[in-house]
Amino acid sequence: MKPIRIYRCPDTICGILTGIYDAGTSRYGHDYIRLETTCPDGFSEMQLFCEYIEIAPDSKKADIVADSVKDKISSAVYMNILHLLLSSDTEKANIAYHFLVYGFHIGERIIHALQIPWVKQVFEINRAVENEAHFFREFLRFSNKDNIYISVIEPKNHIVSLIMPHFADRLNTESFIIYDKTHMEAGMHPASNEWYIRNLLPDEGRTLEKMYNNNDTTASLWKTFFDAIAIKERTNPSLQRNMCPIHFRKYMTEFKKTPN
Amino acid sequence: MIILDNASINDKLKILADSAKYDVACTSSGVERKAEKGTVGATSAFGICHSFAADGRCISLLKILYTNECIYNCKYCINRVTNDIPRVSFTPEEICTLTMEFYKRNYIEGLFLSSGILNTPDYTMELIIQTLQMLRSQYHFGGYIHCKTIPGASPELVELAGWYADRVSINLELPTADALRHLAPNKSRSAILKPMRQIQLGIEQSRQRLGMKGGNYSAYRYTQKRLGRQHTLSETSQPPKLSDHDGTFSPEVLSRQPDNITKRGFAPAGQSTQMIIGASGETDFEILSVTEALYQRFDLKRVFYSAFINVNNDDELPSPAGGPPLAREHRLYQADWLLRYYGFCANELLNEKRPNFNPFLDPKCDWAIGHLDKFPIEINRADYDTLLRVPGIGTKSARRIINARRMGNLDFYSLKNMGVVMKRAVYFITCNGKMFCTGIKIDENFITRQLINKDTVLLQNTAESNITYKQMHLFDFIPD
Repeated sequence: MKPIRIYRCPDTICGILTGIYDAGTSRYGHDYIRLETTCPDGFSEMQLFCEYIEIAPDSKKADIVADSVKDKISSAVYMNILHLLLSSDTEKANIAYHFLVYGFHIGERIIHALQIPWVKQVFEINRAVENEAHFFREFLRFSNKDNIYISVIEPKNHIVSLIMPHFADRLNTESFIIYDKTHMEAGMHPASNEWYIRNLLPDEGRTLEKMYNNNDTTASLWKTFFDAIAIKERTNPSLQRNMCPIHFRKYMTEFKKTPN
Repeated sequence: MIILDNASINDKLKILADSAKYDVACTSSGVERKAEKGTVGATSAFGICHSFAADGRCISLLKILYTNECIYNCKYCINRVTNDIPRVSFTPEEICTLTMEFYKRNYIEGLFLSSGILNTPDYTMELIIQTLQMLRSQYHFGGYIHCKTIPGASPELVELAGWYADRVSINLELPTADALRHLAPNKSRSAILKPMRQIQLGIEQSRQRLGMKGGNYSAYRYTQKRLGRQHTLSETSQPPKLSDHDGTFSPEVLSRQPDNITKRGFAPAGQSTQMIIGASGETDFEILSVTEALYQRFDLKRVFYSAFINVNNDDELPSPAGGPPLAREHRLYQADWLLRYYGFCANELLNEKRPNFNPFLDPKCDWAIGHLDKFPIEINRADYDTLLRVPGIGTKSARRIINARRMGNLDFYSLKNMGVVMKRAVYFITCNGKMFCTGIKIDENFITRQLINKDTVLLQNTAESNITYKQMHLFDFIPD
């Protein structure tokens, strides 16, 4: 029996797409190929009896994979892959590879074939990423500091790029920053300008978090409203927890305990 | 009446949000609109909830009254004229500032503005319109606005409200005209239905002028169209006539369109209404029939139900011991979804002999158990509308099933991945001609027992009927 060959890709979109390119062109046999993402700190559990291949990210190879997914399958499948690669799932590189093996074979109808386990996993991860992005479209809160709107979030997946277009549209006249504390990146939107995403240094993150302050007058008005709008006779904390899970509440103005 | 003139904005917000909380509709859905450069705010068709209050209801809009002063004396309402409560009013500027500041912080999706009736209905309506106009043209707000029209306001003012707001609604308050006469002596059925008809015709005309941007049809209408039912409906289920005054209007309902807002259309997110449940003695069947009639005759987007709370401790109104009838309200909402998305008719779910919902089973399970001759349904063959009738299968999972089975046969394992609720569905479906496990009987008593017993013992134990399970003990492995 052939040993399993494991491709270790850096956890970036470019890195994983390069891994898919190298694995796909190796002609080693799909059943014997596994893709893994490397942790940024370099530790991971190695297995016995398999070959390891380290992937060096190569934007040319990544572009070839991206283009051929778009051309030969469909742009919807490409979006699925992108959302998958934004997730924090540790298996995502492997899932993406095997999903694409089926994808190139079946074509654009692949997204509907939920009976195939790889497709099912892509579907589930996509749904989780999209749902999380939607939760933050709902529950993210801005605070106003010198007319710059700042928000801090701790998402599981890299969702900043998914929610920036939403806010850049509705708040196009304002300058705002969405700071993703988990991944140390921030979406920046200068007033009436294009938005972009930047990786942050730890110091910058701390400064942003300090600037995020939901104790001003508007915030206390909002708390007044939030308390007044609930009907006492219908109090239902478990329904409230279902709809707005507790881990989202960390930075939400209305759930912040007042200092006294 | 205690009128507070110098109340702070915080006190006003507290009082006027508190009085607005019994209005149910807090949806921000129905219209998709991107922001224009230089304006603040967009809307999204599926609606966005921004928070959930302690009662678990969503907060999507800044839901407030303009004033809680009121000349009417509706028995169920906290703001009735005879109540001795503090009365305050916002100014248009205050409402605009609050809306803009809250919106920019992503607290809300827009404004929900209702009001008690100050002086006359027209006077109140003018104040509301003044506020909306200021918000749209001076503050350049492009987000969602839901506006309540005041019963008895003149048609010109109702039309203006429709031009500034995304959704317009007028509360039906009570399901029957008799109850309305009794409990809300100053409101009449015709004063409620007339503006409703006017808005319906207005939306229709706006749609003719502006296309989809002028407002899309209700989910109910799309469902009926899919089922090819739009013409036969009135014959099969004779909707009860809501009133003799459904309102007559000239062919050109829209005449006062302000120049600068043509792009938005007339009430593009449609109109909705709400009814109080449990204040007067209606049956569920009556309420559901009225709901159906409203969808058919007025093309409403939504009908909301509000479980009655006796806030005034009025002797003429019931005060149920177990609190507000929340379970009943829940069943009605479930049935409302069955009407709008699943193609059920009111008289399929209930009838005069059995006018109330089963408290133990949801309306769809209840229907399915009463129609076992139609089951089991083969997942790999049934069409979309047949799939929708299976308990545990919803619109999304039915669509996924249809798409996936083009790629190959489905088994029970893959159904679970598609979001089918197996604990309800297994009694009603087959995959490739097979039931989920042996031991499932298509029998009314059997299935009812299984569905009501939350622990589905059957599914765990009879999957392989000759295998039995028991708790393992450590000592079982130690020989004597």
